[in-house]
Amino acid sequence: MVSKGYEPPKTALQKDYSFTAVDDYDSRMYILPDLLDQESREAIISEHKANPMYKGSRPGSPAPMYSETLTKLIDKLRVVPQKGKHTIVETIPWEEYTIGILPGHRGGTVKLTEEKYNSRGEAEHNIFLKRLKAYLSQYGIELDK
Amino acid sequence: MSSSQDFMLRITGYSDRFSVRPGETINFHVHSENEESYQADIVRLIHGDTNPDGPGFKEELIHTSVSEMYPGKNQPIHAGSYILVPHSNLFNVSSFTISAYIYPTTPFIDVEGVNVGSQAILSKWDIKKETGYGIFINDEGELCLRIGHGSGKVEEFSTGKPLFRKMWYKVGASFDANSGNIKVFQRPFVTNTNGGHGMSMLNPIEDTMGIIEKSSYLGAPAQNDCPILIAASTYEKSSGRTIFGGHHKDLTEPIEIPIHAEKFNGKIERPKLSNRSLSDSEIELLLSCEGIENVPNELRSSIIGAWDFTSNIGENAASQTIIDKSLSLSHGQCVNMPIRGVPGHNWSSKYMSFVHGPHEYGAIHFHDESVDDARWESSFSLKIPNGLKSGVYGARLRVNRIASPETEDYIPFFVRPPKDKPTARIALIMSTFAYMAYANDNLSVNSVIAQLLTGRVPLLQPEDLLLNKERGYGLGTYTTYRDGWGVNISSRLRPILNMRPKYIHILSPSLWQLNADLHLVDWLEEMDYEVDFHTEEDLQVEGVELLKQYDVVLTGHHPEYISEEMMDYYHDYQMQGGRWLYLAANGFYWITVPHPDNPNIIEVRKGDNGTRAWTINPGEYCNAFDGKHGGLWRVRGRAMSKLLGVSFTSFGLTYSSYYRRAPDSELQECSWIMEGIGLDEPIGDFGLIGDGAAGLELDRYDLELGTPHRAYLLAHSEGHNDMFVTVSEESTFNARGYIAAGTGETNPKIRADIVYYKTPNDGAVFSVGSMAWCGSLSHNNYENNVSKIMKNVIDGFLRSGPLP
Repeated sequence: MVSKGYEPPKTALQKDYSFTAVDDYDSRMYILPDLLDQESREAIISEHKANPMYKGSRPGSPAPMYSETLTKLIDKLRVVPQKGKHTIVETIPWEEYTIGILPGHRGGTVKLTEEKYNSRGEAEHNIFLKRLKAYLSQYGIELDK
Repeated sequence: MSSSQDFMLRITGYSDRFSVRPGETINFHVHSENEESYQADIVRLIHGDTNPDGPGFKEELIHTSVSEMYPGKNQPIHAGSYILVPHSNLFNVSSFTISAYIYPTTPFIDVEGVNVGSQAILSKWDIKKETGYGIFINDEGELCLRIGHGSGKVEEFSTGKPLFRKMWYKVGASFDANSGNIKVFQRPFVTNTNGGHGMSMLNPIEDTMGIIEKSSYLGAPAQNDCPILIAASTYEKSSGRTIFGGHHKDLTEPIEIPIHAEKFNGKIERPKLSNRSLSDSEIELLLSCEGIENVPNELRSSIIGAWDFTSNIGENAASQTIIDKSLSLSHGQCVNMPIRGVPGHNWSSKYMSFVHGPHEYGAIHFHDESVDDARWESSFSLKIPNGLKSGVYGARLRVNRIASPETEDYIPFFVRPPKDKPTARIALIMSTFAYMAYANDNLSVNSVIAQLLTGRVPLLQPEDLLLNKERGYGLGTYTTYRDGWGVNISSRLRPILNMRPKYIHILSPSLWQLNADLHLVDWLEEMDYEVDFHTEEDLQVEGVELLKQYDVVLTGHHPEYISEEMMDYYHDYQMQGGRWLYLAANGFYWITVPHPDNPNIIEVRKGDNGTRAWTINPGEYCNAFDGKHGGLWRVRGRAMSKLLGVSFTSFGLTYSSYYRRAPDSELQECSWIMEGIGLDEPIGDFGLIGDGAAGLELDRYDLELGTPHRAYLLAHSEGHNDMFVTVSEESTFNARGYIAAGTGETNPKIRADIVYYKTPNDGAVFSVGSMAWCGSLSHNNYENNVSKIMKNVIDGFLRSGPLP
């Protein structure tokens, strides 16, 4: 929108239709097939829980990385819009973390939730679960409890 | 912990200088959010990493006169650039005409979708008393004329048409107090090139062109004693703050600046003010002139302000003085450093620099978040005692003496040895230009792609929350302003909240910049090396003579931002037998220019090539501060590998890896460096930055890019994960993988190389090619192979005579 008194053209282009359409195609073709049944969802969740932020590489072993499905999935989850996006807030250094909600713009207030976690990795995984739930719900898939 | 709304840092500040010698005085400027009292102490900072897996936070309290409680004062920052023309009764006109070219970049909302509100183009407007006049963009995104008669009587006449973003317009308004006639216009001025990446085919033009004629019967604007402001209006004519000296060197006495509001984002060119209502043809004539060069005498006498933005740009566009070409000679001063010498309404792309075609660079770009100097009151000062050890220090501030993340801040500074009396054979040059470039990035809150780069959710600390509330305190070169333009100016005369001990940086699993450099400071202390500390600002001023006082020079973990002069000094040091440890990656990357009149402010243009936070807009490649091409040093023939032996090859702001020894390390010339290290021993598979010594950003040797032909390869890293990507300047065709682009597990160019070479006169360079190296030094109580190699190199370099 350019101004209050001005109605921009109601074209598909103005709504960035193509991006949304291709993004949806990619999800349906390359990510969702591996998340359709409970077993595969649990496998992805377990994979993330075991390695929520990667780790240092060690001699003699491949660098700790994600499976192809988790890679594609997590990259998509990491770029959800800034407004309402979850973040980690350190409330007691190295001891206590909570989840914050971003305002989506500079100058706004980061809203802190009541959730508490003992490690950054634990908070990271719980944000992953929240994002995954929201993502799957767009396609009518309910994340298992 | 406080409630959600209040949880943030409650105290912060900055110093008036970065480095200081014994006998010199440093002033501290402190802001207390809730005006709470605070205890200030001076401490020597040794280790800033609070990670329980490392040696922990280390500071040493220094007994000075500073140590006491101080009353807290809330000191706001008045951000936003504008031009100030001091009040003159000449400007209290009855009839008038204002004209200009404008290029709005947030006519209604910013790039985050937030409503910007009304924005002044040229005003003599008192917001509180509602007196004066000016042209504005109203809160509906339309050009309007505002006339204030006092007592709440304000008239606004708008074109009724929206201004589009990134489009040049001719705008103006006239008022005849005798007839009451009013004219307001906005006419698009679109060429093939002048919109940069804005549109060049506007159809239908009526969507945004507006011309109105109206009448007013309330008479002349009420007079006021506010200044003329270009790109803002006056909220309070007295702020208690002044401009003088430094980058305001043309002023002969201090000028008080107002508290300003209605800040404009975008470009303005050729603003003019006349004291009568001009005809359309007269306005067109004025718009065609940079000053009043083609204006006949009868019209000249009516012009009381003709600010010509081209008139004092030449070799650089750094002057903050704005020349008035009208007969009134009412020159202005820029406040908060708007960007001068940017492409104007007539930019054709024939010239790519204001140096070559100043007449096409007659615009100034204003941003409502710019800060050149916080101009806070001084809160306390310290005269450096004689004999105080050279090092990294901090003014430690604690609200009500409470040590907690919300109530504690440090203002870091650097104590140098006495002039011409080095106290050590080793010098560490602190990367203060880089600290400034990375200042207040606010990426955790603003950057959509940050999590793709880092592979994790950002961790916010209380200082991040204060920073976001304060809109970045002027931001830094890793950010864009709210109109989408990259921030190319960074000042240290304001709090830099990510340049603090204890701070965990978004771009690293743990530390980055100053706090990461404290890993090295701590190791030098633990190893009992005597070291003198200097800053890049000091090197810029004192030249190679500073370096030549030392047998060994070290730089920190990321000296990415460097000036032309500093490159020369490091080069000369190497040629004259200096021995240097480059303990970093991606060093000497961006062309950085300190302001010619104020070294507290630097400029960086990110260009259109390289691993960059933003891309320069068309025609804006050259630095305002020196007129030369900005961007990568590499494009000016100064690839980093010519000085460092290695070149930026990859980054992965994630977990790290380790090194393996290379055959050259067994040669007689090199084996002393690896003494005590097994041939098959992995090097640095541990550390406080991502669990390994090879990480964050990586450099490799490259003979084509200037690695010296007799350089030795001592080690290389392996095993980088798929978050490590190829730097964009190395990828011409961005293919899927392997050497054309690729990630850590596919591209063999994604590695850190440890390179060593000798220079003339028994000099030498040792380069580690990784930003995580120093994070491994303290592992296992400092008994580890990274620490061992470092000690071998420094001890070897300190030995006089030729190297093996």
